[in-house]
Parts: sequence; C-alpha cells; structure tokens
Amino acid sequence: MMDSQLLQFLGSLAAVAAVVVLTHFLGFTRGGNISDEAEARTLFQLAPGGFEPVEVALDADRRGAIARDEAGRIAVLMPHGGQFIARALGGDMRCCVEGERLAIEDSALGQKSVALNLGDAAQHWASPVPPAR
Amino acid sequence: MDFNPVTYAIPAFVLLIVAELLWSKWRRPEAYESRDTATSLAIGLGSTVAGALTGGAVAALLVWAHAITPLSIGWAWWAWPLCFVLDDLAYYVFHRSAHRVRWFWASHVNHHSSQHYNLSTALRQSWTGFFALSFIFRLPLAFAGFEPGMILVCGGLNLIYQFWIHTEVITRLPRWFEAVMNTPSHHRVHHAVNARYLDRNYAGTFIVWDKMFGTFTSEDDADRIRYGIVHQLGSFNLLKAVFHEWLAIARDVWRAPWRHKLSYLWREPGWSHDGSRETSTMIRERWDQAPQHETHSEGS
Ligand SMILES: [Zn+2]
Ligand SMILES: [Zn+2]
Repeated sequence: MMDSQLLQFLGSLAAVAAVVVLTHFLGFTRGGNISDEAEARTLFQLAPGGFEPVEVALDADRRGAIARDEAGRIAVLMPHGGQFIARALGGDMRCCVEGERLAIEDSALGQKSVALNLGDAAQHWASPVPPAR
Repeated sequence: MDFNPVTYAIPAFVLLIVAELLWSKWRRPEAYESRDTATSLAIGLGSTVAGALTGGAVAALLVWAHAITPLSIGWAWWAWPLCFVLDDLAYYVFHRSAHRVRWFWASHVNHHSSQHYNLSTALRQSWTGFFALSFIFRLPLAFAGFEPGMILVCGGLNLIYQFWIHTEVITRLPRWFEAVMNTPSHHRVHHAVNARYLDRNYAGTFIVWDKMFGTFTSEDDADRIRYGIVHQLGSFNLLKAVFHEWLAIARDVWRAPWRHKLSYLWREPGWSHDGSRETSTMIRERWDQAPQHETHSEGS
C-alpha cells in the first residue's frame, strides 16, 4: 500500500520533470509583449481598484508600460513570465533616470523594481508633477 | 472501497499536456510559459500528496455519516448516475462557496493563481482543502444514503471531467453540448478577471446549475479574456501560490477591530470593514458605471 503510493509519487515526479524540460526545450521561455497602446490600456484597467489611463507610454521593447490617470496617479505594467501585471503605485514612488531608461521602485511593487526604456520621455515620467506638454 | 479513478487518469493527463504543448508550439506560443507550467505541475503533485494524507479521514467521515443515517441506497445501478448528478450539484455549492466565502477561497485560490489557461492549469488543485473543511459539502450525499465508495468515485470522475476543459485549443463545441455540459468556453469565463466574468460559471460537469441559479455568463469573443486573480500574484513561488491567502487572512484578522475579525473569515474575498478594497460585485459595478465600458455591459 505505502510502497505503491511512493511509486506513484516518484512516477508523477518524473513525469513532471519531463514535461517541464520539454516546455523549456520547446522554447516556451520567451516573455510576453504588449502589442500596442490599446492593449496596454485594457491591461491598466485591470489594476486592483481600477485605473483609467489618460496618458500611456510603452517600453521600447514592449516589455512594460507606464500610465497616468486623470488624478495624476501613476500605474505600471510589469512583465511576469509571458503575461503582465498592472499595479497602481502607492505615492512613495522612487525613480531614477539613466539615459532613456526609467527605473521605478514603489511599495506597491514589493521587492521588485520596474525598468522601462521610454526614450526621450523618460525624464517626463520621472517628474512627480507632469510638465504640460 | 479503495479505488481512486484520478490515479489512473494521471498518465492521460500527462499525454494530453504534451499534445497541447506541441499544438501550442505551432499555433499559440503564448499559451504556455515554462516557469508557470512548472508551478502548475508542482502544485498538482503536491495536491496528490495532500490528498493521500487526508483521503482516509474524508472516507472515514463519509462512512460515519452513512452509518448513522437510517437511509441506505446501496449499490443499485441507477444509484450511480443519480449520485454523479447530485455530487455535481454538491460541487456547484462547494465551488460557489469557494468563491464567495474567503475561508474556502483561501484553499481554492491556487487553482486560479495562473495567468495562463492551459491543461497544466487544471492541475493547480488545492493542498489545504481538508484544513478548510471542504469535505462538509460531500457529507449530505452520505446522509442521503449513498455509499461512501460511490460518492468518492463520482467525485473523482467529476475531477477528471474538469481536466480537459482547461484549454484554449477548443473554441466552441456543438450547441446542445454547450447548453448542458461545462465546456472549455464556459470554464474560460470562470478563470477570467474581466469584470463582467468575475464569479461566474461555477459548474463542475453540468453547466445547467449555473443557468438554474443565475450565475451563468457566456463567453463573448469581442471581450478578450485575461486570466488569473484580481490581485495577480506576480510570483512563480509554489508556497506563495498555495498559502498566500491564508497568510493574508491571518494578517487581516490580527489587524482588524474585534467586532470585524470574524467577517474577514466568512465574508466574500475583497470585503473590508473600512471599504478600502473591492469585492467582485463592487468591481462589476465600477465597470458598468464607467462610460467607456458601455459596450461590455452585462447581458449582451
Ligand atoms: Zn473556481
Ligand atoms: Zn478551473
């Protein structure tokens, strides 16, 4: 009885390992891409508590995005595996600009930070109150 | 009776996952992600261990309930389909509770923790179902006089049925089938985080329960489904997927004022005593009121 259960577990474990290796081997390791601004908007709207973006900027590689709503709140899309997660930032956002890259840390992101390649707009998004465009 | 049909189905599960992987490679590369799949399979494997550890206790409880009831149906052939249908109704009640009572949600949430929807997602089964007392939903069948062995086999067959519907490979099945049975299309809606799809389609095998009790919504191809949970985990950590909601409950109960502590156990997920969070009902209302979402209002 106990032996057959152990055997079953080991068999399942081997199958799990084989499938994971196969998944890796078949190339299911690429991250996702945001296809366009419209998709970014629908993803931002899924942020917990809701978020209606009025201004959106996509990462140059489409591996993330940043947005501002009417009230001036900031939200980001951060990659998670092949998908994206929308998080509205808490207001204690710390960002630093290095050339065209904007790195963001915030309590709403936990331990993670988000790095976006925003081109010339990096500085624009780094300022807490957006300058009029 | 020591026969668990799920054990015998595991090789078929593995083969079907491999088949879907190969299909996805050509047709839908975004359907799988290797770390997500690893987490799904590890949760599935762990759930078989949890099941082996607690299965005996559940069986003993069913035997106890069956022993004290004056009713006894026995092993008549007609009892099998009747038991399966009633067990599926019990599953509906369990599953609806698992989404509307945070205590049960804490145990069920790991099934919804993936942002992907493929056959491997189906294996994200609970580790903490016994701790959450989920077995109470199956006791009424034993009290009604059904044989414990029959109840367990029907439950296993129901779980096997639910495996193949976790796929995007199948778009729609024939109308009569979609009308009666739970299908990939109906269950995709169940796994969606889109506001209009939240807390819909609780069915196990027969979708008719959702239609009878007003929780059915059909899939709208114009509204692309996003999968997962409202507050996406953002982690492939196995233990986080399995235990995060239990920890969150403990934190909330600890911090809440005394008169609100119990509500954090039995109210719906997202409920808070100060209104600082959103339940699925609140999310749906917010969505319906936003002018830009008018085209996606309920009932289309
Ligand atoms: Zn569910
Ligand atoms: Zn499911």
